[in-house]
Amino acid sequence: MKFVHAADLHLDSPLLALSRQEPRQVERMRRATREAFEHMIDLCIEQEVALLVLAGDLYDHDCPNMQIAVFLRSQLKRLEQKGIRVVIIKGNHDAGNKITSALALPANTRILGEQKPETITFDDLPVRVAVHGQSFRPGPIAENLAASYPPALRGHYNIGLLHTSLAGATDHEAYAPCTLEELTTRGYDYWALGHIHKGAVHCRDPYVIFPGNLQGRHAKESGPKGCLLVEADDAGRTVAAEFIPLDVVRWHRAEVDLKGCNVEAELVEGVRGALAQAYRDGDGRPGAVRVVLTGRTSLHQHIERTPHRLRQTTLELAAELAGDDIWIEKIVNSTTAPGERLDAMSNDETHDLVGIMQEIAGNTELMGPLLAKELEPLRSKLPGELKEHSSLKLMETPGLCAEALERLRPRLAARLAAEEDA
Amino acid sequence: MRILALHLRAYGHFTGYSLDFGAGPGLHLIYGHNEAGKSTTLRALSSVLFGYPHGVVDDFKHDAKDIAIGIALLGSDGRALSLVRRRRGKHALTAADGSALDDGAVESFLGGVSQDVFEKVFALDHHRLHEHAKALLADGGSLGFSLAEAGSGIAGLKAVLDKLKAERAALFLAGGSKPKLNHAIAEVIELRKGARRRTVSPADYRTREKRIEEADAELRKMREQRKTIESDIVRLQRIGKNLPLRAEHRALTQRIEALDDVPVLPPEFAEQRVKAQTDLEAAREDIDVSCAAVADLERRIAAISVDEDILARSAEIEKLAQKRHVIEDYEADSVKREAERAQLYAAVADLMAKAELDGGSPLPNPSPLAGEGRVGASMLPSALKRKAILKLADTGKELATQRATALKNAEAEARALTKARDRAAQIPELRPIGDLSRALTAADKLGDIAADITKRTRALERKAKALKETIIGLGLGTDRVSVLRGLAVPPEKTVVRYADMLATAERKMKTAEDDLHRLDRDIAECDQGIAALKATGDAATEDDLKAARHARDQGWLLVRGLYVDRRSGLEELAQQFAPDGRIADTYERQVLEADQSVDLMRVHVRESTELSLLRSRRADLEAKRTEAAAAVNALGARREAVGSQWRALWPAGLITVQLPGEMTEWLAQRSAAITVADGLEEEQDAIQERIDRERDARQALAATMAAFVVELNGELESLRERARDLLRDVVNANTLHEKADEAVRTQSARKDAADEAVDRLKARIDRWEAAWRAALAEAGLPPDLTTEAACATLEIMNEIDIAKSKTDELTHRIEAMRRDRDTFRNAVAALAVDLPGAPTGDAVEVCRQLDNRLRVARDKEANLRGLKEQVKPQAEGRERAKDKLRRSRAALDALCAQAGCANVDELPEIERQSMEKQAALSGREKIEMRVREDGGGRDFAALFAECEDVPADQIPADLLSLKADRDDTEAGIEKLMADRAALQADFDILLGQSQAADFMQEAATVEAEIEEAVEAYVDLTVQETLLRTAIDVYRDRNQGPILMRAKELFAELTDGAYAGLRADVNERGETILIAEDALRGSLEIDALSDGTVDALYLALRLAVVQEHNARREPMPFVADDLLLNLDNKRAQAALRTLAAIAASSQVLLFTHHAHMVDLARIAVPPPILIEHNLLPATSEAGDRRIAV
Repeated sequence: MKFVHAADLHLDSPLLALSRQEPRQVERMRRATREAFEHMIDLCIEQEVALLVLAGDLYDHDCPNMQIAVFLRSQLKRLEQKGIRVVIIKGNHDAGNKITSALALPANTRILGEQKPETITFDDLPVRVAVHGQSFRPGPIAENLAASYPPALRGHYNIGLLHTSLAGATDHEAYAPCTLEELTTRGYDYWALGHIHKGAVHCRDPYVIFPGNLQGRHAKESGPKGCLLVEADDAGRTVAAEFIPLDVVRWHRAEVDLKGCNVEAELVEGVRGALAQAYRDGDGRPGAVRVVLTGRTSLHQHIERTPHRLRQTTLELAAELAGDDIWIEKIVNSTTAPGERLDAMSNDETHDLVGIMQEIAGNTELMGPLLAKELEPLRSKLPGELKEHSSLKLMETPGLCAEALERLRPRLAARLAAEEDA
Repeated sequence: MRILALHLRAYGHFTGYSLDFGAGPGLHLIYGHNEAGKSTTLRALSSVLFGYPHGVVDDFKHDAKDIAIGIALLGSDGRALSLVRRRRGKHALTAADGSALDDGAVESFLGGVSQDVFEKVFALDHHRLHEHAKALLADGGSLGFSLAEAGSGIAGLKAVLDKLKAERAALFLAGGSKPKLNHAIAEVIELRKGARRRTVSPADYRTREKRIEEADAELRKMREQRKTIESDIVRLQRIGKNLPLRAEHRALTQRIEALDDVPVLPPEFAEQRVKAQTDLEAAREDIDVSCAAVADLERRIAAISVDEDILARSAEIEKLAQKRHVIEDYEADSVKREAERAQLYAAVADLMAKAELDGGSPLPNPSPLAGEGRVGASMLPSALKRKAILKLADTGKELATQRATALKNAEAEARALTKARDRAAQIPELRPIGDLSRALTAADKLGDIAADITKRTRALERKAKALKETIIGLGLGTDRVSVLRGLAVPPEKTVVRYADMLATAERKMKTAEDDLHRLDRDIAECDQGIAALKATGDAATEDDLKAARHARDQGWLLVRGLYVDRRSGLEELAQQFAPDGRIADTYERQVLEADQSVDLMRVHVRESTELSLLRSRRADLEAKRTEAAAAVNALGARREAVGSQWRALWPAGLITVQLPGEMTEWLAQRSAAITVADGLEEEQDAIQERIDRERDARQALAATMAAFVVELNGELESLRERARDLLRDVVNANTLHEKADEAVRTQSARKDAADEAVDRLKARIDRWEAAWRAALAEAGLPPDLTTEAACATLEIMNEIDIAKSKTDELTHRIEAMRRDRDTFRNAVAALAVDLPGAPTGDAVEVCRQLDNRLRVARDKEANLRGLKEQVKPQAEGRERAKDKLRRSRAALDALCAQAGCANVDELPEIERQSMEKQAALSGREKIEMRVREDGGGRDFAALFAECEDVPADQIPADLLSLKADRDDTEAGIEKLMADRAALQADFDILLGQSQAADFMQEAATVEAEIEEAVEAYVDLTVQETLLRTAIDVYRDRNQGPILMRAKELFAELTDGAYAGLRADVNERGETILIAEDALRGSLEIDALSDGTVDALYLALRLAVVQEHNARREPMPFVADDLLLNLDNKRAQAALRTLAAIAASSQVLLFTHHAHMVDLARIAVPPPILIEHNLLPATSEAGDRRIAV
């Protein structure tokens, strides 16, 4: 008996931080979350699975759009035609979203209740299956939902469907927290988790798995994204849980270590290698790459002085390697200069300009208000949440302000040197 | 910190070179001409203090690992440090005693100054000085920029700020719409609106869905209504149709009831009745006809009688009748056969006679009746024997023919042999050709050697002639190769060495001459400058003044001598002083000129100083020119000496010696000529060798051809031609001879073969003759019979055999006919005896009559049998007719019973009534069926019942009304359906196309752009704010002390032309620098001359240095040809200023301009000025002080 476990579909959630380099590329990433979902439905049909379980977050909470629900229904109907059952729990994004309740879902689909855990059994399958789960209610769920899940049903293959941050996931908000031990001792055969966008296998006996989301939506959600194809034998043992990548557009973080590099050719070769690796990893998919340059190198100043040239070179390399299948999301220069001394200044008041720059870069009390004054006009113009852009946070965060000043001081020094050379 | 000494142990092109600066104060002037290593020394200074730069290696002389620079430092607190820095990663620093030092040891002497600051702030050259001065102007005299640039050593701060600002503005402007961010923000707002417009909320979704559901319900209701109306219409239409049917149905029911007693007969009843009556009549007729026919047949049978006797003997009679025709034929045929036999007998007798057998009567006369003897059979030889004799005869003939042919062949071959022998005898004998052929082959291998010899000889002559011309061209006065070879010339190395020496001499000479020309040009320029200044009349020098004063004093002495002291002997002087004799005027003029000179010097100080400098420079140049001219002469002499040595290397009197370049070429030509001569000698030998080979070949050919011909002479080619012809002729003759011999041999063999064939035939003929005779004897023929005669006799014998055979056959046939005739006659006689009424007479005739009687009896018998056969069918037909009659009667009885009557005649009426009743029943059934068909499954009675009380005339009006209702309902449904479709389409469009997600994605991509631009904008803002703030802070901190010092320095540097500097605020509210001119008052920077701005920047920079040195560990100030752009006066003022600074801290002034040394010597007194000479790089000596 096979079933598919997926979570965090976030249908119609836009792919973030991709600028409009090419209209064609924008077109390719349009509706990527829907396409990934369609791929998953295709997979269910091809593999003739008995069941699909979705562990929450079908939509984004700020998307109360019936177009998504209609799309969802049309896809679930495809499964209905093939006799494939679907069990869904609502996640924190779905809980307050009325679009599901406004639409009649097909007969093969069940959404588990939100007041208490619910169990659905399928006794007509080759292996008798019991799915236990509870949907999220609107609002934050701080209590441990898993604690009240029912005990395993004898003679059934027990699947626990749970939307949770488990314990200790720092990148995601804490929802329905619970420990791994609580899950593994419940007697279930498979814990189908959702909420954490990075796939992870926490235990193999029994399986406790986050499949990750179906489609990466920004640079932080890099690497392959997809679902799990699970197979149980007639004795009700899980024999395989294979990750199947379904993403339409893939995000890559291509790190280039320039430690000890002295010439530009080495930089170019490094970038070429990292891009080629990303392209290979993408398995033929279009991909968005964030190139991160690291290491202590004498090229640091050169990179700071000629960012456009580096970008152009990188774009050309990408085009050479993969046509328009690879596009460059961003190039981040995290290298340091070999002789750069970020300390070693006495506390005495300095009287030379470079010393003063270094001194006041550390003085956020002085610089903070000045920068805030300069940046306020822009912030006031920005719409909504863009006002909270991380770059602008330095206006009120001393640490960020100091970091930005310190980070940009070498770039300013490079500008001054360039003006001298000009 | 002071630098006590700098030790260039191994660096650049220096090895073990030191500059010793000493511990005392002073302005160190380090002079070195071009290439002396000034830049290397400056780099060394920075490197030893801060470490070696990354890119520059300076290892062209010393390996990088060997590079080492030493320095001795003295701190302001009295600490001293000597160290050596090597170019290596670890243990780069060592103390004087070789112990390792860390960087901290040096840093404690540097007062927190980084390498960058040291190189930018504590070092300055004239180029950067000017660059900074230009930047000051570009900054608009801003105090902040001026101070910051002087303090950081970075030029163009304002340009950097401007660029940052412009880049920011391209991204965002508070009130703008076009910058990237402004545009993107507007776009994202618009896209979000679009997304909201296209978002389908659950409430909206439900509303739309409800509207569609309501439309569906209404539609269902209308459709029900339409169905009811349609049902009513159908019912009315049905009633309208059923009303007349109901009346007809009633009439038919009454008729059926009236015929109630009449049975319903089957449809075939009438047909059955008619058929039964017809069959009855036909059977009666058939019975009558059959009875009459039987009676007639019986009568005709009784009338016929048959001859039974003859029929009893019919078999015998028929057999005899068949034989009778044969017997009749025998009668005619036997006569004819006997005549034929008699003819054959006669023919045999003739043949026997012809063959002369039995003495002319070979055959007895045969008897026609008893002639069955074997006529002559024993007299003839057997056929086998005759055949053997014939075969032998054929063989004999064949052998005779063969013998004749063989004999003829033998004769012909003999004749041919004779002929061949004759021909062979006529052809000459064989001759050997081997030697001739080999000699010719050898000669052919040489090819056209004579022409080749001629051609090569001519070429050799041409080349030899050219060589001679070449040799003459080399200027030796002879064309002999031996002379050329024997010539003693210097080796190539020597030539190269002298070429270098002469080239060096020439180059030095050229350089010296160039120097001389340059000096001439400089002098001319000075002269022009002097003339120009003079021409303006605005300049005078001390010399002018001295000269004027001298002239004036001379004039005064003369005036006093002449007119006061009244001394004599002054006429000549007076004549010199004033040629025109106007001594007083001249004196007054001289006084005036001296005064004017003083005035000019006072009023036009600059021009006067310039004029003075020009003159000084001119004198300097003049001295240098003299030195240069002497150098040119010395170099000329040296060049000539080398030239003489060069010429002495070459053999005197034989060649004209030129420069090494030309002589190298000459040597090359000589060498080439000798190579050509060697080649020509080799060619000469080769030609001679070919002449020898040609002669040998000619002699060999002549010797071999002598065996064939008598006279031989001429060239090789003609000899070769003749030899070829001769060889061809001999070969042809030899071939002919061999062919003739071969023909004789062949012919002889053929003749022998022919003779042998004749002999073989003869033996065969002998054997045949013996066999022939034996065969004749055996056949009884005469033994001497020829083959032809024997064959003729045997032919006749064959004919006799044939005739005999025919005769025997005829005899046998005639006898057989006789036997048959007798048998027939006996049989006929026997039959006639037993048969009553039989005729008598000729057997043949009797037989014919009996045969006729038999035929008549048989005809009668057949007739009787036919009549008897006809009686039986007639009787059977009669029986069948009787049977049919019975069946017809029974059928009619049955029909009557069915119709319920006793008499057949009643049946037609009953049949008619039955049909009438049946038609009524069927009509009623059809009406009921039609009514039910349109009744929609209702009961028939119910359908007629619904017609009750419905007035027929009302139906059409009701129908019209109902149809109108139906049309109205239909229209309503259509409208509802259209409305619903429109609702659904709207809904589908809303859900399907133009998805909100697309707008959200588009907005996300624009937001990404915004984020990227915001990040860039923030970065630019941070940089701009940081730099701007740093400049402000710098100004705040340094404005007071630096401006104070700079004010004094500026006054000093401008030699008092400017009283100083101060800060002021311009109309735009910016703090700017103001220079206080002694004459013109306050001036902004842009009102100053370039030189003054240079001085201003220098004042600021020196103030920065002094300020630093006053507050922190003092650092040396390194000036690299700093004062080049300043005029001498300013340069001297600057030197004095530097000297003043040097009193408290160290100043190192590098120059490679000698006049700077001169200026320094004028401006700075000796204890302060300490001169160092940067010696040429190869020097191993240490620093040496120039004597002052």
